[in-house]
Amino acid sequence: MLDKGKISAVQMSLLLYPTVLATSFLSMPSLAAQYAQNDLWMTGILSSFFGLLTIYVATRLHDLFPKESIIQQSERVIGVLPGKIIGILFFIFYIHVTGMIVRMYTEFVSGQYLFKTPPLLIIFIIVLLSSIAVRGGIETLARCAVIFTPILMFSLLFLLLLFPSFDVRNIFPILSHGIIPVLKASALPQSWVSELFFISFLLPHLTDPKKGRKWGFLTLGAIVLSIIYMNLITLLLLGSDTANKTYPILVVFRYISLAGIFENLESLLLAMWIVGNFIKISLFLYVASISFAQTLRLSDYRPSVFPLGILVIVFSLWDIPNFSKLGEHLRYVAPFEIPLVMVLIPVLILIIARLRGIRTSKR
Amino acid sequence: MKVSQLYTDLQQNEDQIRLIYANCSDLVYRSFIIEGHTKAILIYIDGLSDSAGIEKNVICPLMQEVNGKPYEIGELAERKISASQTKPFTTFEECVEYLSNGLPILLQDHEATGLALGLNKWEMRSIEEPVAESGIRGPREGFTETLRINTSLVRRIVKSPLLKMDSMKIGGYTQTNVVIAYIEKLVDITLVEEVKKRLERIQIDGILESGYIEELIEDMPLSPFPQLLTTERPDVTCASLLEGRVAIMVEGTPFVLVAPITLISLMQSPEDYYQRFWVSTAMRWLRYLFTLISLMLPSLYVATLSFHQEMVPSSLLISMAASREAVPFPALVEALIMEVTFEALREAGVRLPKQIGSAVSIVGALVIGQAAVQAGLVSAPMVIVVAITGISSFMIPRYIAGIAIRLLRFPLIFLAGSLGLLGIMMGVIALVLHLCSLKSFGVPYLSSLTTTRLWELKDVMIRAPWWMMDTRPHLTGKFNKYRQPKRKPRPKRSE
Amino acid sequence: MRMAVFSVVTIAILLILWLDWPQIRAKSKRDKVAFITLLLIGWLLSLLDLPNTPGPVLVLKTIFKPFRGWVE
Repeated sequence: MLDKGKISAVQMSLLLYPTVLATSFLSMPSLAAQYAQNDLWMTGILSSFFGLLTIYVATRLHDLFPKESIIQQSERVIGVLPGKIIGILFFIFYIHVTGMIVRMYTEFVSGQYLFKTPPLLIIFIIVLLSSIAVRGGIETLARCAVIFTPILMFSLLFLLLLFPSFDVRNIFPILSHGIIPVLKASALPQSWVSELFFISFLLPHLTDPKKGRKWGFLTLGAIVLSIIYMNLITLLLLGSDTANKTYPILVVFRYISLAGIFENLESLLLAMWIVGNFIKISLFLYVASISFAQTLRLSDYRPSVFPLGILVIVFSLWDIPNFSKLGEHLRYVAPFEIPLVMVLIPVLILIIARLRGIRTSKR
Repeated sequence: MKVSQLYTDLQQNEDQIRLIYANCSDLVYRSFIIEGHTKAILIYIDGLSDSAGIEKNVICPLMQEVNGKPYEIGELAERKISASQTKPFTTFEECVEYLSNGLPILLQDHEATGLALGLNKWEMRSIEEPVAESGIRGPREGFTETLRINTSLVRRIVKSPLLKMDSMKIGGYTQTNVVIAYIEKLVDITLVEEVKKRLERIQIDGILESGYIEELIEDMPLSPFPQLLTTERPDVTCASLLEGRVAIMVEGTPFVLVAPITLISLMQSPEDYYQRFWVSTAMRWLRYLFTLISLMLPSLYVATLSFHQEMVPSSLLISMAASREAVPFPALVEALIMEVTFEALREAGVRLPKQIGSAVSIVGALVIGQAAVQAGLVSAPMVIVVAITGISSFMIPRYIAGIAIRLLRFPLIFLAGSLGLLGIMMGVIALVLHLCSLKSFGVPYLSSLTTTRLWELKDVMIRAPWWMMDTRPHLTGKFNKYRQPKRKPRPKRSE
Repeated sequence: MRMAVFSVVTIAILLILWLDWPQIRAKSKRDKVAFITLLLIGWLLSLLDLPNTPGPVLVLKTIFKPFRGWVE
């Protein structure tokens, strides 16, 4: 094993929660509203499907081959050469998505708060910090998550301060356009939720692997609840206007005003965004580094972390001249690209493993 | 130094010792004749030995002529010498070791064995209240520079024979005595072995203070955060020993080292445990709050004024803007000037003679506060921010941690001035990252905070009442998990 | 922007080499090759005018073009 660290199941949850939500929570209500209008709060429930599937597949594979991640498991199941191809595909994919995430992070920070700061600097700093975290190992990452994730979750409670301004009538009429728009709206959240597949890389480090499945599903539950919570609040506050805003949650935070003191909490939102994305980018970079090192059978993943960080910076800039191109990619390509690697391929591997009659790991 | 054996001839022994200690005028060579027939010599270092005791217990009884029998050195110890400790030795190396620790040595003619007598005594400071760690409630005895007194203070509190004290010598020229104390069935024996291993690895000219040892055995000496606790109080030391930690006592300094520690150990004061638990819990929360304030207030102020003016309530914003109008510097520079000045004042105050102290504090208040604001050099809100920050940094019980936090303020102010809230978050993330990867003798530094066993937090977030403090902290005390089987008394239930 | 990216990447690569090369030297050939290759790829890519160079986004867009109708 490349990283001998051990984490507890709860720490695993706290790592996965921001990994799924950090980028999505900001713009998700508006993307959902563009398809489903006032039914957007239902997207949370529907997007759990991929999550259930991906956790099931990852834990099942881990039962068959304990202490190995998907990269090593695929080599066992479909052979060394095809397994290596999958491995290379995976880590290129991870680096690419990490680049996308870094770009999304930078666009928000640069576009809304720090207009005059060169975006390259923002990109560089976050990638640098994440790389240092990854080199510290999974234990360091887990401990950071235990500190930062509760802050993230607690800050979401601030949205409840808007209670007086909620307009419940915005929910109605329910399902006036049928279920199809809701399904379309849940396409992008599905892909974010499928990132829970990272559990495959975390299960080998659990002190008690049997708890992995239970806590995986609990995390999924928490994520789904959070999605419903945020979509609902945005809907109750902004109504049909949600679809017009790029960052509806930002607008929602700006509304909060209590006793003249809790005004302009958008800076709190910035803090949440930075911290949540730090964990997300770090975990992505960690998974990418481990995949790289496992595919090439290197002795240590640590030296590859900084070079992969440079590649992340490259990918965050490549072929994305402006924000609208990024948005386009996220709406039309990401809902397919991400589940392809996170759900489809693992499902295929599991099916092949069953077909080959593999019951337990043979060493 | 020769490791050779003593000679049988007294004159040769004496000449060898005189050679080793040439030009040392503080050595006393007292020759006398035992019972009128055997030549003997008593050698000691003036000022380190108890001359009155020597006269009474050694020279007097030996000189008396009782019967004319010659004695062996062992028999002398058993029958004639009434000193409370005697240790025989056969090599010159041991002889030098005893002499340099103040023990007089006795050599007899026709014997290749010498006797070291436990009659060392020197001028020492009496036991006083520790200066840096005083409190309202709790014992007021502090350690002193003499190792034997320190070990006795600890032994008085932990009377169990399971309290072990291993000793070793460190330092080429100083040969400083160092004692490692631990409670046998409580501590992780690999921890004790690791501590000993690291101590044995030290090769240095001299150890003058435990700080030398601290830096040489730490996991990460480059970190601003200390990975060993330093304390002058026996009660703190014993509480740590009871939690499964190891104490290192060094001759010549009242500061004892305790390992391993976590960040929370630096935030706890012994008084927390002597006061009522509501009071202690409130004090703890206050302490945590003010630690955060002392770290982040100046940087938040600078970031808010420079980048995020919309965060401030409008009425406050107007008065702040008005007060800053006359100031020529940007907020970042103003903050740095004030903070550096405050640090300079604080550091100077440590060394001031008491008489000048009050004069300087008046100067500080008037000059810095009043005049600078009126001259338009700094703004009034900035003075308030600096003052609050300064005071809050003193809330941290451990002085060293307070300094670390104070120093970390400066990079954060820089980041705040250049990148606003993003800069602060980056600094905070970097700090948390550093703390997450820091380990003290294998125990993760943040383990009490990042534990997912919520029961552990009972001594972190609050100070749980004594009847709830059943278990020792997990990472150091897991070998003896329960402090006592059934803690009594429990709070009464209504009948 | 181009010069900025390239110079940042170059400086970063130099720092990485300075920090990590002593450890890499002691490891097997495979590790060394992987390390150097990664750095090389990153460095070469940073020579291009990245935001405007067609790249992965275009590739993926073409691959998933048939599915576009599902999410219109």
